[in-house]
Amino acid sequence: MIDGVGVHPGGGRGEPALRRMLAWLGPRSRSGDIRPVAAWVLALAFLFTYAGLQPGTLSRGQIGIICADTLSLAALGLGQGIVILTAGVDLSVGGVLSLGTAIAATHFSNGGTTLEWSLLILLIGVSAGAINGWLVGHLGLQPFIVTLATWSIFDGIALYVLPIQGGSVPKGFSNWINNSLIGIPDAAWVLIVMVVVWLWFKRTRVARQIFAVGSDREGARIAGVHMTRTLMTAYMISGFCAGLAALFYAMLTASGDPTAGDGLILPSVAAVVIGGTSLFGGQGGFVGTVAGALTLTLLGDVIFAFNLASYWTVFADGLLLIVAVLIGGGLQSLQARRVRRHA
Amino acid sequence: MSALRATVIRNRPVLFAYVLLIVLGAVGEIVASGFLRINHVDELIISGAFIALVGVGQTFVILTGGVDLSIPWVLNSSAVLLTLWSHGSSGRMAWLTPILLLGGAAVGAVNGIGVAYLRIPPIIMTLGMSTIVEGGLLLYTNGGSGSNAPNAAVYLATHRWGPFPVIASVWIGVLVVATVVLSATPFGRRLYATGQNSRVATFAGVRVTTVRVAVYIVSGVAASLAGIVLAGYVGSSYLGMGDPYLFASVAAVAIGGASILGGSGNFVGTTAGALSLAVLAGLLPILGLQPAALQIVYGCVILGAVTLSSAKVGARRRAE
Repeated sequence: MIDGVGVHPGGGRGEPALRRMLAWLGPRSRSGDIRPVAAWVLALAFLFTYAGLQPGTLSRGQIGIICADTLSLAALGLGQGIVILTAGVDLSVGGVLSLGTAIAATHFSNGGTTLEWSLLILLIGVSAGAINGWLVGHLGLQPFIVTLATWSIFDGIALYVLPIQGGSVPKGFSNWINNSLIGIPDAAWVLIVMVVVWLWFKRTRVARQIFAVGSDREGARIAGVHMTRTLMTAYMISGFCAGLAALFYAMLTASGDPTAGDGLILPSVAAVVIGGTSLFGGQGGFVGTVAGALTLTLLGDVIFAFNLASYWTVFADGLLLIVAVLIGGGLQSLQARRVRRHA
Repeated sequence: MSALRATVIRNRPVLFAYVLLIVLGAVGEIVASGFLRINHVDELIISGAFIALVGVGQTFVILTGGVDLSIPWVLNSSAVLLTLWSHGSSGRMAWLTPILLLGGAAVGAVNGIGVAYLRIPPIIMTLGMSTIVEGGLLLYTNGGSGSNAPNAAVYLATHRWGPFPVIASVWIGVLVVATVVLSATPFGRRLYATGQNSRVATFAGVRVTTVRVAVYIVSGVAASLAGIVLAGYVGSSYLGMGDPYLFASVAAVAIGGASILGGSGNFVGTTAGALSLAVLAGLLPILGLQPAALQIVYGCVILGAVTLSSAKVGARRRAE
């Protein structure tokens, strides 16, 4: 029944193999959505620009560093993307990330407590998501106002745990991100695993319900989708991913920052939008988001390679978000027109 | 008589905000005697005034069903540029003030055009603009901030005529203008119509896009003005000084009884909201809480206010 709203992944019968493959990789659209492909083209363009400016970029070690830099943004984007698929937005990922790095920098130690505290960070993320999801799903409150409020709350708690930037994490913990397994950097493995998990997840029932809620809320309700449960799941995944992102962030910076998350909210949304996910819900996926996150990371690298002030990154992030929304909207209406003509 | 009753019923959330304010004030006086002595009340009014100034813009925007997340960096830019360009001279401030207000208006106009004409969701557009303004400011100042604030700004923010803070007169002026605009002008009626149902408003001949652009301009100008006065209060400027005002502006509007969905509420309510937040902020140190608690309080207040108002809407819908 939910297939009726067009959320079934994979292409139709009798399509060319290439297009079917694209449709499988990208979000499920019968004509093959070009937006994630465009995002990958953009990311690769940035990669080659950077490689042209900085010789040695395409070495295994450098690729590992780029992947490590992208990791926390990609994790945030995975969760943010799932919430945006429901036509919502999760601003609280900033607060959860700040709190997570604050806890990591103050409580992790070599004596085996790292695992317990890591699990606690993930649990905090899931709980934050449960609160957001319940308020949005059960009470029907606006996602942005709910997550704005919980963002503020978690930021406040983070400032309690770690009042100023500082602290440190054990070497063993922060070094993990720089290791590699059978010749592939750990960070790249994590990205691959996240993509595989997404490709599995988007075929599950829950994912279809999330897509359905985002593309037509009333229709999904009538079709029997449990609104509260579905939205809670989406926000809980987002909270979990924010917790994960906090761990990656702490590994990368080897310290904590109680305001780290504030600056990552916009990039998390931007990665999703550049990746071709519609802000109005129901269309998109993580394959494009990874490209979006890579693009944003490489943008900072390219700005650095050009010897420009790092502040250009802040400026460009904001501009890129707005431009991506406009281009995404344009491509969407273009595609809709083409599909209509073929129909 | 029934007209009065209707007014009271319609403005019940606003009355509730004033009741909350009185209760909070009374709690303060009970916990720490002298909380309501005139000197301390003046301080509360001054710290509330900054929230009210950003709150007036946020009220206008939220009334149309939008939200402005670019307030903190518009405020911060205005404060930094004032101190940077004036070198502490009040004479320079005289011609800088209109330029800074125009700058705020320009940012607001871009926000409004993005939301109204390009159909970008308000959160995304204003979040993006916030970052663009932040990046632009950092690039211009190279990460530094300005020197001393001009004496005129300090006077405006901290001086008192007897027991009466100068800034309270600004606040009252804004309150009168905003209330007249919202409740007694065609623009105000169009604004509420846009917030209640933009489609119906369009059919009724309201130029919804113009209204939307206008409210974001109001918000930009208000944030810029708040930056000027806040620089005067602090005596200088620093990066990040606008950050608390995002949550504060939304919280003040939410306590003030405006609907986050747009279409109902007014600045009289936001005024009570801003004062309540100032009183809450004043209570925290007395209760032995760190400043970080303020962030938690802002979040809880926003959640509480929107939950209450949605419960009311739900009850009304069930009753019908």
